[in-house]
Amino acid sequence: MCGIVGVTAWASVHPLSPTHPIHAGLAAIRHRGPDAALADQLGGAVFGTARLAMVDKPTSSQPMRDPSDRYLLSFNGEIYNFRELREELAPRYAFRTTGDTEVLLAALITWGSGALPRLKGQFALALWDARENELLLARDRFGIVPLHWTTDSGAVHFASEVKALKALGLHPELSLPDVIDAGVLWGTHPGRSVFDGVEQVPPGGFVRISDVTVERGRYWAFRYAEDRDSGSIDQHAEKLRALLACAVERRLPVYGDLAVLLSGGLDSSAVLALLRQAQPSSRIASYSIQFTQAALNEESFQAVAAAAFDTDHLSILCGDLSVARTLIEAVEHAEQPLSRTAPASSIALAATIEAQGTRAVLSGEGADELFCGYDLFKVAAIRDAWSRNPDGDEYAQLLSQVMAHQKGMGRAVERAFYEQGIDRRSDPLFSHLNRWGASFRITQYLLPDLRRGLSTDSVLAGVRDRLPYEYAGWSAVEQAQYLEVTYFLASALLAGQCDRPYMAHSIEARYPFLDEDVADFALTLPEASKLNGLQEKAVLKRAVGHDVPAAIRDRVKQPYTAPEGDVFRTQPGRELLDRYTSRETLEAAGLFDPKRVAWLRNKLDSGATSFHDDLALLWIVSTQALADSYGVADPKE
Amino acid sequence: MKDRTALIQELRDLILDRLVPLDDDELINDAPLVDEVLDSLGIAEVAVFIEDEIGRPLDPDEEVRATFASVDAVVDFILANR
Repeated sequence: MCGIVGVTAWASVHPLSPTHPIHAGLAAIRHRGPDAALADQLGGAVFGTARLAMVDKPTSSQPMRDPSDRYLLSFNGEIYNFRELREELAPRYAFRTTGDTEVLLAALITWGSGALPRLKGQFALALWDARENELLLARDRFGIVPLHWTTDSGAVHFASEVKALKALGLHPELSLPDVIDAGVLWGTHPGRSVFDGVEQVPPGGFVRISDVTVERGRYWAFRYAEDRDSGSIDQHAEKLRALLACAVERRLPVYGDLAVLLSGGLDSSAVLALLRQAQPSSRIASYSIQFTQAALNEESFQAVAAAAFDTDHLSILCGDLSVARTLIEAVEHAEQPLSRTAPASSIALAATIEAQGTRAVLSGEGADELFCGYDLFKVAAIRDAWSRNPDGDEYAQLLSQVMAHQKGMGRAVERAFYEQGIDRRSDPLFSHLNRWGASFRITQYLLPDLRRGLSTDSVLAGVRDRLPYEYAGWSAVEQAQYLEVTYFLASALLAGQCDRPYMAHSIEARYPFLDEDVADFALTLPEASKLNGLQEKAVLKRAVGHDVPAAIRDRVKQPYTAPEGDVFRTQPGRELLDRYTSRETLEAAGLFDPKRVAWLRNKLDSGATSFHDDLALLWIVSTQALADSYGVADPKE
Repeated sequence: MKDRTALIQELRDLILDRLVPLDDDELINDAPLVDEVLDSLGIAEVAVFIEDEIGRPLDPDEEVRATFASVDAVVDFILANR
């Protein structure tokens, strides 16, 4: 993985020199690529790459030109099938290096944007064609690797992270509508960022820009197969296991240790099991976070997995204090308001992993979205059935069963929360109405002028407007999967909790469950293979159930979460509140209502805060921290 | 025994002082509480308020949306079950 940054201009071109802003842009993302920072100019394009050398260290330097000096490429990520592509391209292209960068370059030259669906990997790329004066930006299917872009004074600027755009001399400011989306939806719309005028290349998308046109396209979209795999669940499981094993093998690092992020749950344990089978004699490191709060701690399961697969296991202990200490650093790297504190724990773990000299880790992220791991999907199924039979007695009981293991949610009264929207089955966002309806309440902390006219439906209109036409034909559960992949996975998880905290310490995380072949197969599965009654990830448990210890296979899924509201009751947490929620600070940013924020702080001081109170506090503090660094675009415009 | 007016005022005080940062004129007695005002902790707090007033725990089949539908609905329930 690396960091990339660049400027392309069609009129006045600022020639590359030691004082060119590209060097400041590279310095701003040095954490993504500590091995080298180089810039190059080709015609109207100045590109820079801060390189984290994971393949072909000696010769695959970037930015890379093709032999004719027509094309310039900066690329961040990994192309896992580069060897197969190289074989296919070899008759037409004289390779000078052994790495994936040149294979990607050759593929783009040969097939244009038609190369993108052929790639198996995680990537963000920028390609300049100096003859056509055209820039191509593209990103992997799920948005594992970030890529932002904006226009200014006739030039296009792009970068892995917004801080590099700022270092180029631009002035990105927070955009209130997108800040609201990030808080309510736990993610931004595909292609949006929380910065005014700054777009992200959408997952599975590309942008092609010339001096007169901007073309935004998709080369892949999350769509279920029309004809589902008709095999048995055992057949599905066998196929899935084989694909996962391949996905793990593809992701073995060329240099450095083998390592896994180990949560103690089924997904990361499965990745570790398959890695151990692929590498029976190699040293494997495993890294975990333990929480001081017993309710969040999965230490015993982590220990079971580490022992079963004979890893060199290292864990860090996180609690309210440590989370409070790393929270702002996590926000600065996430470059979006946080909807959970987990990134703060991730960034602490990343620092430990970096100190061990590990550069790449395998992660189990993606399994819950693709194979219905979250309780959200069970709740969607129950509510869907309940909506068609409102007088049915069994649904309340089923809901209580699902909710029973969630901490502090034992009362039947919680059902009242989930009964909301039962009569709104025709709403395309039925599966997420409870969550988003509840999280919309954070907007009550905005200034009166800014919250006037806002409603849950006005925020959700942005989601409804973007739904694909096939969506209406999907079940409630599969609609929920789509929404989780599009909003939560892309923004809160892959960006906020994975890429940014780990790249903050030059660690590349790799995701076997998001492998193209695994994902394509998951999209052919019937729902019952994913959610079988109330059994989550049915096919995955069948696929890897014998590979992982029984204690892990049979355990009740614990949502991975981190300390929330109590974080702000610690000394450093209070200092954060004093710094970011004082009347003066709030008035300077002009977003939040000081009286209402003070009410929330009093509630924190005097008693229990709810999950949504904590969400609001986190949103306010993280937004204020970003406003401090970047400013806020006029909210009234 | 508290009358309807007193119950409404106590419930409103609970909601505005401890549960949601609304101004007094923003809390409408017949507006949907569960759908628009309270989160899950708020619902639980109102459940405790109800139980204190009626002197017994709520039955599971009473812990439904209709009971918590609005300030008026909560007070109606209390009055009917004291």
